[in-house]
Amino acid sequence: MKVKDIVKITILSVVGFVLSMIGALAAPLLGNYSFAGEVSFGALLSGTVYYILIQKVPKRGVAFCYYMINALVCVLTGFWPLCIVLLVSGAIAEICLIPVGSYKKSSRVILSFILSTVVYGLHGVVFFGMIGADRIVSAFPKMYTKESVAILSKYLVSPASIIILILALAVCALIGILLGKNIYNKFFAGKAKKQSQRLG
Amino acid sequence: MLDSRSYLIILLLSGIVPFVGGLNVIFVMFPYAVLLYVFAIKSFPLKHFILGICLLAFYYLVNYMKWGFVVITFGVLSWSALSLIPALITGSILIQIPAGAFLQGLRKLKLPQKTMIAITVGIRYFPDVKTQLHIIRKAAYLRGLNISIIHPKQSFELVVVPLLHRSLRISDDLSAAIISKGIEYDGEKTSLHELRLSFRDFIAVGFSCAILVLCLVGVF
Repeated sequence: MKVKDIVKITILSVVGFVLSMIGALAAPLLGNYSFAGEVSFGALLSGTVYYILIQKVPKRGVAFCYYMINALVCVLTGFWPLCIVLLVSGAIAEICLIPVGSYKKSSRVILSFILSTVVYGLHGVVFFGMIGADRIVSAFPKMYTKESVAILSKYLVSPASIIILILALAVCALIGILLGKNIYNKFFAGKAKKQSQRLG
Repeated sequence: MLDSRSYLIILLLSGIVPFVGGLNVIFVMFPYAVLLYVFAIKSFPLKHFILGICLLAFYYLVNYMKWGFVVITFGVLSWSALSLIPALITGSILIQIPAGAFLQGLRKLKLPQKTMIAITVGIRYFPDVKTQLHIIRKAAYLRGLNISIIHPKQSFELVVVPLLHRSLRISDDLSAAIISKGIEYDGEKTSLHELRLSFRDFIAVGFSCAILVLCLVGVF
């Protein structure tokens, strides 16, 4: 990747992060499912940025860089546990785009965004299910009490909740990325075609 | 003003410490960040100060109500937002450091070049996104276009399309500027800004590290 690709990825990743944060502001409306709401509503808005970024910089590593920059911003703002989740999401997104020509295939881009969003959105389940309520209370004693962790565990770590979460994340990510595809074809693709014809 | 490396370390610690130490440590980190801002920029961060006070009041109000649902959602949200305030204040100092000085600081940390560029561009572009959104909203208003939640798709296109077009144009201009300044040159680079760690840098970073250690030990 060249310097101009790094700059483009960084700027668009920052825009994507800001849009996902704006979407996440609506998450408290979902109450105990706010973990999924943060990511789903964020994916609705940032799917456009992701699609356009992949089309503008169709190079190996772009999806991972997008999530890596989001992870860096999370570390700088203090949400350091999300860093690991975002890096895993980025790796999954990049794995979906391994086959040659994937970056220009909208189905592959859509799949990579949906899978990475679902993995990112399940961070609440991972934290509560795998780490365990007691360890969370001891790790973050000032943030959670035993009662609040018990309530959140009951809502998050049950098979029905996990299925609902996955469906909600997948649907929101799909809507977000399809919106992105529509916007790209309407406002950006024509310009790219004219540019390639001029250079052609 | 301190060295840019010191501010970067303090920014990292300002983000991590509140999540490790809890609410009590914010009463230390918040005035500390305000003090750093006053010494660096020679003005008071009034907006951040008012925001911090409002969030603190909201947090105590939510906890006073003791409604389970409200406490779990809005309590955690307000606590998380409050924890960000020291990092926001430190970040606003970093933004005002000249890009050349910031890049030279990162170069002295021996970071890979692409990482340096990404960090510098990312930190500098963050406040610009807010400015761009404000400009787009004003331009839409002048043209009689309505951005409202009643027409979500149209409103989204009205905001996001110009934002992305402007961002892509800015990225091209920025890349041209960076390349013309010799970023791709492999040799050793000099800088107009001389960076030297002073006693004040060690005091400032040392204080942040001491707070982190006290949080880990359980004092807060």
